[in-house]
Amino acid sequence: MTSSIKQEQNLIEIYRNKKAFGVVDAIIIAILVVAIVVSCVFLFSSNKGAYVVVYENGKESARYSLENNLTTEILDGKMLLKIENSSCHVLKSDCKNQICVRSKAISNVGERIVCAPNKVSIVIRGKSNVIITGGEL
Amino acid sequence: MKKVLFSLLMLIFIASSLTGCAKSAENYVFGTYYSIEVEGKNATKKVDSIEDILKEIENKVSTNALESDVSKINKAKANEPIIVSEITATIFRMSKELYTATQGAFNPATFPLTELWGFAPSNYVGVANSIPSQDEIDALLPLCSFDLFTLTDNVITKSEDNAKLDFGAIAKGYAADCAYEIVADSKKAVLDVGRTFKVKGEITLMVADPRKSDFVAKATLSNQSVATSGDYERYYFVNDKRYHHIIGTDGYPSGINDEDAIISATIVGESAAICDALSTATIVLGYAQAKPIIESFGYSALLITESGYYLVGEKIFDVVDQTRTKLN
Repeated sequence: MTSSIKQEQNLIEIYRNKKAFGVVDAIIIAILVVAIVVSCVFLFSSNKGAYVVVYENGKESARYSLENNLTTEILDGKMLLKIENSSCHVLKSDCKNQICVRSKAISNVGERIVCAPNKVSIVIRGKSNVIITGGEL
Repeated sequence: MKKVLFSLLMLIFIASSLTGCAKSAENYVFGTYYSIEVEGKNATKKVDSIEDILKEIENKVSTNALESDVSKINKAKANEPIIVSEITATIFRMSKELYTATQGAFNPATFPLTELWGFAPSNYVGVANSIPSQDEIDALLPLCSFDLFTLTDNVITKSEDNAKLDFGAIAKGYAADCAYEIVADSKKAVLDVGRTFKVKGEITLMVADPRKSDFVAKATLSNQSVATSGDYERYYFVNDKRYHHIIGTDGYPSGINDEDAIISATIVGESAAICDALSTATIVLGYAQAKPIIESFGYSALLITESGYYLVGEKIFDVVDQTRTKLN
């Protein structure tokens, strides 16, 4: 009985001496707050932060922000992609029909350039509840 | 402090559960891309099932797949019976109904002419130095009748050796309809098969301009399908004249000598297969003949010409194009 009362007294002492708010607590709270803010921004943002996704044979192979200005090779150098002025187009391709090269530059979420012979799709993705029909593929 | 942490954790869980399970996939089928997005329970399993169905349909009806039912029919001699799968038989029966309903404008038997003009998947390169001669077209026209093909039970026969089928103008829509059965109870789904869509839930539709980088109209779809056909999909220029892949009943690309030709036809309705077929038939028929057919299905349409547009059926399209004139 005495030892259990003493245990309790020790615990009370520990509890009383414990800091109300330590460094570890602060780090955990900071992480949680950042996580909530990021998920809220992600949930409620619309077309901002649109990005280019490249699919090769059904698998995502690259992703670029539409705000970049860059020229890059895709598909092991068989195609050349350019992103500038918030739009994306295909500069060069080794395909026979060159439909992808002649396709219009894309800039809106849901638009895509397709190179069927190479099984490449270049798609603008982002938070948007829009589908696009018609127009040149 | 523990209460604060616990509350924050609960907030995180609630926030993440609001986003729901979502899965997407993008790949190639029928010589074009597909894009699937599904939200809700079992999203991953549903996407996998849809991809399996798309591949199965492609294996049965693609003109490119050497062992498909369609390839066997196309290689067969006259009166040689070809046993086909239930998928092919279903698409064949639907096509016969639509062939009749559109007075032959929707015609899966124009493949010999499609190949002659260089618009088949195997020979399309987007450029040409010349067009077929009238004699070449006249030689193939008699072969391009869907009446040459019959289906009895699951056996298809044709009455001419070189008659050929191509279900490209309905297969994407049929595939989207089949995929929709899997997601009918999902929270939300967007099924895109080569720009023929079927959507579960509500979404904004934008209709792109067939000639320039802009949009012509928008609409709100709810558990509906949409398909667009036009002269901008597969084409080439010869002597500054555009020739496109939608062959008319005279053996030439439809509307090439008509100033009022429909260059883009967007059809909205319940069945993606019917939207797909009607969009092609509309390019062949033109506005005056297509309008009553589209209305008989209870579907809506936006038909675009070089300088104007027509609205058909229930008025769901909000036209934003300032450069074209309303024609009806």
